[in-house]
Amino acid sequence: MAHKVMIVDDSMMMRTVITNLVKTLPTYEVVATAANGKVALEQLGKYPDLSLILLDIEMPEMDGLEFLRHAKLRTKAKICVLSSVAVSGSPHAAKARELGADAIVTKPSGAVSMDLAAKRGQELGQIMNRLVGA
Amino acid sequence: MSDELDEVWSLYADDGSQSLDIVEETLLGLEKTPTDAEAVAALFRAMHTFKGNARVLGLAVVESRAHRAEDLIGLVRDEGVAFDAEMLGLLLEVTDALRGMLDGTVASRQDIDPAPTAELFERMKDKFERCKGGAAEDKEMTEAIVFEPSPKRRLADDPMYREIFSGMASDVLREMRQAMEEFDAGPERVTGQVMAAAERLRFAAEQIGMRDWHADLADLLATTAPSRGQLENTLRRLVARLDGDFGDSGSAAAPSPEVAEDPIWEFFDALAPCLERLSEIREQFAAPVIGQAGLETLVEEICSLAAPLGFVRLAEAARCFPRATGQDAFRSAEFHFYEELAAIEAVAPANSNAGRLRPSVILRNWCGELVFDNLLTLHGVLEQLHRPEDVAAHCPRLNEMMRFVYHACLHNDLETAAHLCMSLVDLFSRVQAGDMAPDPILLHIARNFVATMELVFDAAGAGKIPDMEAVEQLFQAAASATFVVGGTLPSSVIEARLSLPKAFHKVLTPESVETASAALQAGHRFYIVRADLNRDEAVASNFLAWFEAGAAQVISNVTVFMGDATLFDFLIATSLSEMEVAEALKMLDPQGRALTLERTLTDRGEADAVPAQRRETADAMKTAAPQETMSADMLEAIGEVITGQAMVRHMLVELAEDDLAGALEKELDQAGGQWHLARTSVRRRLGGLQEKIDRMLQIEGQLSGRLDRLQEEAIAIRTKPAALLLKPTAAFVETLGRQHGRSVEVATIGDEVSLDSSTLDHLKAPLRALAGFAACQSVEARDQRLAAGKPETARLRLGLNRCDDHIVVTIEDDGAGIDRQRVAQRAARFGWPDEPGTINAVLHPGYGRVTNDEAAEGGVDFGEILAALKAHGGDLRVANLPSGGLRSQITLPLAMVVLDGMVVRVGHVMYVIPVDAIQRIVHSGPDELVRISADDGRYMLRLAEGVFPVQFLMKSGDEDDGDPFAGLAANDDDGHPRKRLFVVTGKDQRRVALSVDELVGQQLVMVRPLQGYLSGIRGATGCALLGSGGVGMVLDMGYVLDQA
Repeated sequence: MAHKVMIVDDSMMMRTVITNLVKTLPTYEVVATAANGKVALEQLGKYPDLSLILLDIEMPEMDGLEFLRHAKLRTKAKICVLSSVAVSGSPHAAKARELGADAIVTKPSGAVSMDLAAKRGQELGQIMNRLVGA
Repeated sequence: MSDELDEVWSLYADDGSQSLDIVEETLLGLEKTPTDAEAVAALFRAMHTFKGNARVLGLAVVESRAHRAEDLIGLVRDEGVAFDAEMLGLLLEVTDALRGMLDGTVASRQDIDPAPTAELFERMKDKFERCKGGAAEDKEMTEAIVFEPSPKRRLADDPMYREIFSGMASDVLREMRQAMEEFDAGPERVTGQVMAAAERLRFAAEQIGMRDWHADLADLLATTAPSRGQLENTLRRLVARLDGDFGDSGSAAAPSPEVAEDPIWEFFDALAPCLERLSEIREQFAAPVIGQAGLETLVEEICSLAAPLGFVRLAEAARCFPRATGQDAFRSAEFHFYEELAAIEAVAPANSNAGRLRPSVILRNWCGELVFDNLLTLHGVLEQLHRPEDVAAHCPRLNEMMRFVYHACLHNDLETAAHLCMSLVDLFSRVQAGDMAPDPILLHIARNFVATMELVFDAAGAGKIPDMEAVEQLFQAAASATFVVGGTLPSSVIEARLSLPKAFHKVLTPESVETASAALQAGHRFYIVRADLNRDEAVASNFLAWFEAGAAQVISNVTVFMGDATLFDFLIATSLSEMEVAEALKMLDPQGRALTLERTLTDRGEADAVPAQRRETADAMKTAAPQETMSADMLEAIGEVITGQAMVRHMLVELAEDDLAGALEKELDQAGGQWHLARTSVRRRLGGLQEKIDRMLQIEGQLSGRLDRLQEEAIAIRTKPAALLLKPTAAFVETLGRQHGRSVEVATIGDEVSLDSSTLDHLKAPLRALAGFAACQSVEARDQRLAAGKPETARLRLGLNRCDDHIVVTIEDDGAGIDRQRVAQRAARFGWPDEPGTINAVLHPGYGRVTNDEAAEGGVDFGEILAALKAHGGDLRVANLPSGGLRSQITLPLAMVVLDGMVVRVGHVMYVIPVDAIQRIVHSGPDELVRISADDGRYMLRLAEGVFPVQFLMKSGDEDDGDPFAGLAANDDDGHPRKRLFVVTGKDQRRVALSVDELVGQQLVMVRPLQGYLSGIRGATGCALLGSGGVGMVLDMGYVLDQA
């Protein structure tokens, strides 16, 4: 059975790009997307068997860090921060770790060309596999 | 994929357009209300989204423009920079430009020409830099204002402090009221309780500046024996005041309705008894086991409380308790459980939590108590990280320990250190995620962090203000360790490594950085090719085909305007040599007009390419990480030596090619064989020769000077003071002792001794182990020492001194030493013969760990330490001191020692005499020399301070075979009695006068031990590399004195 994934990002384009990347991974299925942390938190109850949440940080209404603070209490899903601001060792990254982020990955760049999409998909897939123990 | 691409581009257009709409709308709003923080936040997010989308599509130019705009807005959002008209104008202008770029990129699906927006980009950059500077100035101004007299702001006016006081007052009044309910049962006891509570509240009121509260409570406390009525009246007044000041009188009697209704605080109230039972279970059983009575039931209770609130992770953490099979596992489970509880507390309303169960407080207290244990564990874990698989195996433990330390930091209000913990967790997690080996820099930072935090917590524990400067520096270092962990070099490093021309700075996109990073790692070469692609279409086409064929990779390109022409500088990477690239370009452009190899870039390597911030960090870490790289002076000296050597070679070649004999013969022939006619020209020719020789001598002198400099630099790099080993060990031992209930004062001797860094490395582990043993095993606990009539604080001495070709490290304490009886019994069990009066058996392989308390953990395996030392040619001795205490003595040969030596010449051989062994140098004649017939005709040197035997290092070349001083009685050429040089050396009470031919000079020399057949030479501790490039024998003064 495929691992269920939720994508939380305020950019529809980004949600689509990440969804497309996840689609290239046979053992994963995107079951939900949300445009901000608040919406994602509301949706969380509907997916008790969620395996993974791919989470942006900079979002309106409720940002990724605040979502992380609340979501970590109520879901067993692994949470992977996917952000361009949480670079290694940065305050954002440290805060995300403090709040229990299971992984932090820089947002895929140039992921729309055929070969780069495959490469980025593969990289993301490796991290996702590690998180869900696949 | 094509459909997906279409969709993505379409979304890019829609999302981008919406984001820019939001940007415009918000900017217009900000024009009217420039301080609207929410609007600024929305503006930032919209620009951030636009930038992120461009980045995903690899549109570097669009991304860079949006990024710069985002940075500007970030200054307003995060750094308090004013949103002014200039910024508004710039942002509106860039929004227009971005809208045009959006249309252009959507239409072409390609990035766009940076040139049209280059000037705007520069203006934004300029504004950014000015604002950034302005922010700093503003800050300075604010700091300056602090010194101006200003009305003192009371803490009582600060909402946060008011809230704290309100909670505390509510609590204390509740406590007083509850106590009063039992007044009849024990009036004195209750009065005492109420007065104690009143004093606590009075103190808080005084600190915060709640004057009325302070006055009421002070009145009550001034009453010697207050009656029940007085107490109740004061209580009523205070409850009314609580209601008046904070509208919270109800809380004095019961939790406020708000608190009572909050499900999380209710949950904690319900959970409190469970946590008490959990604590009892932990204390009752040293090692909880599966199925332990009561634990399963307790866990089920916790889970049933957590379930209605959906706290699935807490329930999961609780279920780990029954599975814990040992103390460590139980502790780990408890830690994770409390972390979950603290995470729940973090989302609960913070107001009116006073008097309630605060898991975060419990957790932090607990971590604070265990911090030294955890730092030790952390130290051990870090030592095990060498390969990627080590990281995979130990990273979870490392993260857990770091999180323990993190909470301990918060317990001590060490926020920077807490952030650093989490940064390190992040960095190591990324190393693990990337299946990488830990980077040495990261490990270095982490080790330093552990060592620094030991001192910081130590200071905090002793009530001192910890020195946080080192932590701040490590924090900066961690922030700049990004590229190491990411695997890909950042653009700044690539710019520095390749010395990229300025035009290429800040233009490298993430993709080009990745390509360049891979090319650097593959050892490819980098070139800049200038291309005029508008001149000849065929050449342009060939040029691009060359890349497509894989001959080279384009990293980036910048536009160059030359007159009316628009040219491009391509930064390319290839495995081709410079000549091959030049040939390839000639093939592509036979006319040589459109393609030019503009520059070959040299990879300066990692050491030279550290970006400025990293360099500063590295400088800041010098004390923790002694510098071991070449200095600019050293590089300069090498350059000078190479230049000098080239000049000498050139002159030697000239001389070799010069047929002097032939030339002279020719001169003589031309003069008809008459010498007096040829004399002038021959003299001129010989004069030229002499000039060349003089010049070479001059260069040789310069070279010698440069080599001295180089040698001293090289020595300085390798040499470290022993203080670097002794001081941290002392701090470590004192801390360790404290953790084990010992008060230990450590004195170090020999801090100033200079040693080679490898020797220090070899000593570190055994010294720590032995000193740790002394502090925790040999030294008794405080009460035992007092009972034995010893001072409460034990003394421990760490001494290091250099003896000829080895060093001796002594660790002595005034404790109980090692229990000899126990050692003898154990030796007997192994069937080893007893060595009465000694504890040498502990050094025997297989004896195992030595401890004075076998029930306790710890102890040291002396046999293992000895084996490790022997691997480096060292030794270990241990003995109980007659006066009590233990002495451990390590000896270790010097792998390479730096010696301050006097270089002397005897005949053609150079010797080095250690300067610290020299008493005086004299020039003595026959009058001071006495020959002792009874001592086989031996010479003695008679000086004012005594008579010393004369020692010959070897037969001097100037002397006759039988007696080196045979000619001494004779006069020199000027008719004076002939004198000789003597170097009077000594050690302890022994002296000897060494006869030498010449004093070459004092210099620092690097001594290497004699190896191979040379190792049999007696009287020399090693050979020294002299600054002149020659080799000298270093005298073993012990041997020389023995022979005298």
